[in-house]
Amino acid sequence: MTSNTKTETVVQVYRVYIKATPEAVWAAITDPEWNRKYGYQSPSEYDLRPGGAYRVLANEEMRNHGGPEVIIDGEVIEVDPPRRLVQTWHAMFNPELTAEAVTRLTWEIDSEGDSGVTRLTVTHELDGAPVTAAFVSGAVADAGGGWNYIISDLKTLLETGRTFTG
Amino acid sequence: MPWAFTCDHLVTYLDGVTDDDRVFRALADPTRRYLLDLLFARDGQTLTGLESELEMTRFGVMKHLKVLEDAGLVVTRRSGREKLHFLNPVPIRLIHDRWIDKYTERRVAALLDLKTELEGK
Repeated sequence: MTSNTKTETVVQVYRVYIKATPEAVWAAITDPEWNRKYGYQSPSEYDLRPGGAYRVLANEEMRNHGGPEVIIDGEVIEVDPPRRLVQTWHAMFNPELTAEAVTRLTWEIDSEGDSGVTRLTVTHELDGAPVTAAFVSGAVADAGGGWNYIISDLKTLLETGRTFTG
Repeated sequence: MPWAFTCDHLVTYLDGVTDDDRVFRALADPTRRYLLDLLFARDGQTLTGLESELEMTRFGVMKHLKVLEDAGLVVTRRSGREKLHFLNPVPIRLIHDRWIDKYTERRVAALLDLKTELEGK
């Protein structure tokens, strides 16, 4: 084992190759009409400019369980459509998560030559947010599969027009 | 071409090799599975860190990491002067969704049919 004297950065990286244009992938991430269709079916609203608001609204099932209206919020830091989006990300669907540090999320969208395949890389920097890290990695039982589930479903939706649930 | 077969949801790349092929090939080696286990236990490691856990030359570890990276199972990021290796679980999830679910579902369905038949008598 290597010894590491500096504070360890907690980073999770997820990557998927999608047979779709970068523009389609960008829309699937940023447009609520798209992002409400896959993953946890929670519409995510972006004000796409630096300093703009980001919020994820509870889906009907979550609301019926008495969850908050806004389950995740954050702020847009960097916008370069359809290539790069940097934002903060703060989960608020339980008190333990709300108490944790605000995390940083980077979406990178790259074309794989002219093959029509787009590479999506999601990097989540989770310093000071161990419970959030457990949730988004899918390590929390009965809390869904985290990013792995969400971006796998995003790929399925863009390539087949259908999602895991419907 | 090793693989003429393709269907809707399989993305075929330049050389006719699908992403599923790459993942299965990458996983078909105990050293590479061990490297993934090491990253699962502690994500974001350097080559030097991973090498210290294996009885293998640095070059050998690099070669295995390259196969894992080509299969999308490992993603590298620069952090200052270091190159860090991260486990990317998405390809395994996709294999699971495409293959494992398909077969376990049928088994579960068969058991349910049996249950219905037995209880119906």
